[in-house]
Amino acid sequence: MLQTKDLTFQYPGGHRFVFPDLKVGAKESMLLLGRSGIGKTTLLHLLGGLMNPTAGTILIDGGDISQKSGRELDRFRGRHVGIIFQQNHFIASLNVLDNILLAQTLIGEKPDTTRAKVLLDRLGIAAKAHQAVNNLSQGEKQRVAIARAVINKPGLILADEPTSALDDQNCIAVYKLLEEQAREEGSALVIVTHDTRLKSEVNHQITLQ
Amino acid sequence: MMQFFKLAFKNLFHRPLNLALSLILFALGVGLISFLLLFNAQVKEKFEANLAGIDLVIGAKGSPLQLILCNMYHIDNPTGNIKIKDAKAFLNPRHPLLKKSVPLSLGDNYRSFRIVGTNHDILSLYGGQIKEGSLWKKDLEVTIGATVARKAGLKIGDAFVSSHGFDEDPDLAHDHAKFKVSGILKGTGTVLDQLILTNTASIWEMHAHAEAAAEDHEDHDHSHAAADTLDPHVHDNSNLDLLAHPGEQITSILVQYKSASNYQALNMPRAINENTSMQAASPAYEINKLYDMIGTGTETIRYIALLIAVVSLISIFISLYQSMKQRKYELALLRVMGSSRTGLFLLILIEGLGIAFLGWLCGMVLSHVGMSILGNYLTEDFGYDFQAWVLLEEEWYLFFIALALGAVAALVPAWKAANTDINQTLGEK
Repeated sequence: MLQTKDLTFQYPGGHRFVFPDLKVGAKESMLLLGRSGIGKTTLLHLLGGLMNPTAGTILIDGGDISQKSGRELDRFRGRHVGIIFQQNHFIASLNVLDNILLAQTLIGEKPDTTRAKVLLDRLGIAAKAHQAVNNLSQGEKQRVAIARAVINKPGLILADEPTSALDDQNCIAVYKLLEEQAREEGSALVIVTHDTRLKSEVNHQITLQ
Repeated sequence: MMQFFKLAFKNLFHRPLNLALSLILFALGVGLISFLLLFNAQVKEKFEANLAGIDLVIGAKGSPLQLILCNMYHIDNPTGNIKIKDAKAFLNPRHPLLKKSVPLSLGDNYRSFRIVGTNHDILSLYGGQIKEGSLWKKDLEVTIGATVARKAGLKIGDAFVSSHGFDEDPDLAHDHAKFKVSGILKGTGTVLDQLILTNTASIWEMHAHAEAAAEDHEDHDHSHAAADTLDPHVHDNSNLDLLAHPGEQITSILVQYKSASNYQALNMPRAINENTSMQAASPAYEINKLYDMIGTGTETIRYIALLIAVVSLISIFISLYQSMKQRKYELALLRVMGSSRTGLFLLILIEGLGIAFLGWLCGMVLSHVGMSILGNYLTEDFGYDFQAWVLLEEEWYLFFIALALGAVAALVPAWKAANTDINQTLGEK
């Protein structure tokens, strides 16, 4: 689960963002909306532990990510947050399965091949496990990215514009897929987007002003 | 840590052409240096093992280096022969300065192994010991070195016909008399292993017969009425035996001083060179001159090897730096997935070390295969055995130097990788 309080971020000598308090429980979904430049990416990086807020707290799985730094923050991020980026990037030298397992080995866990295969199966791409990632279609790549994000059963799954490049039909399908996987793993799901098509799907919405 | 090893090697092999380029350069540098080490060490070892405590070689006038190479290393032709009456003083067992003087008579070979007429003292110079049979006693009896026994396949009791000169040539075979193997020596790792030893009279006999066809030779008690049978006469193999034949010739005398620092001993070579028709050459001095000549050549190759090493260092640096830039997003991703800055630093460092390690490995294979090819060639030409499949201590140093080079080349790219700005990189999308 995710809970933030009085979150502020001040760019050095630049813009100051004050964010509304967020609360998303396990297996719940939330939509973070807002126009470009309003601080969506900044908030995503704060929630993902990719940078520290100037003030405020971010609780993920009961741990305050805003108080962590260095090695501790790296580990915490790897274990408790799964991020799906708009552009799906992978380690080009590894195959699909190894890309997913890397999310485990990087936090010092033993790679669980069985679980990774179960995930690939659930996402309908089990046959691609030993292929090079670059040989996959965009849709397949997104599924691999989802598998990679959820393999560690994170408390929070962050998705950055997961649907903006898709047509209406696929847009809803991808959302359903994300929501389903998050619920399956007991994670809180936060989708950062300006895609208004998702508004009718997700009840819990916050628009940044 | 382990995950970085796996990832680093996957990354390296993901770009095989880049890897190949870096490896080829690195392997060339390492290989050339290792080859030089290997070659120098073994040449030096051969030369030194065969110095055998010999202080002076006395022989016919000519090139002193040739005299040494011919009579100590058995890789060059004699400068000529000397008359026993001229060398009398140095063959005298009561000479006050000389501990040992070993006469050598060359001129024949069997399957390009030299047949050397000498006395039993030659064994003590090289630490030779009998393995089977006994030392030569009668004329035409031979005791053969370990290499000769192995390569020519000679056993005790075997008889063979020698060829005149130093190269195998069936047309020049002395077909009138046969040598008979009386003993085989243990291997010593010295030139002794490649020699066929007999008494001096046997060599005279061979050549007396070669000449007898044209002229009547001086009649002495070693001339033979029945040349086709082995002479039953037993020579006592001592220098006194030689001194009884002042008119005969030998090729050289290997000399050991009683004391090398004795003032008179120090003056002996000059006295010989100035006052006699013979020359005296010092092995240590001549071999050092030879090292100097080889040294200039190997020095040049060493600089070329260093140059290649520097170029390969730059190539590894460029390769890593470029791939690091290309993989900026991958590196950011690794951070997102929980890797620390140190982790990224290690990843790139391991990639650099990986290239260095693989390059070292390829270089080692290159140099040792090269050495084995050259070794075969040298064995064929000079009879010396070269070891291609040994690892010198210096080659292990080379291993650590190679790793250090890899680390140095990786340092800047690794540091840059560790400081990848993830927010900015991910923000670029």
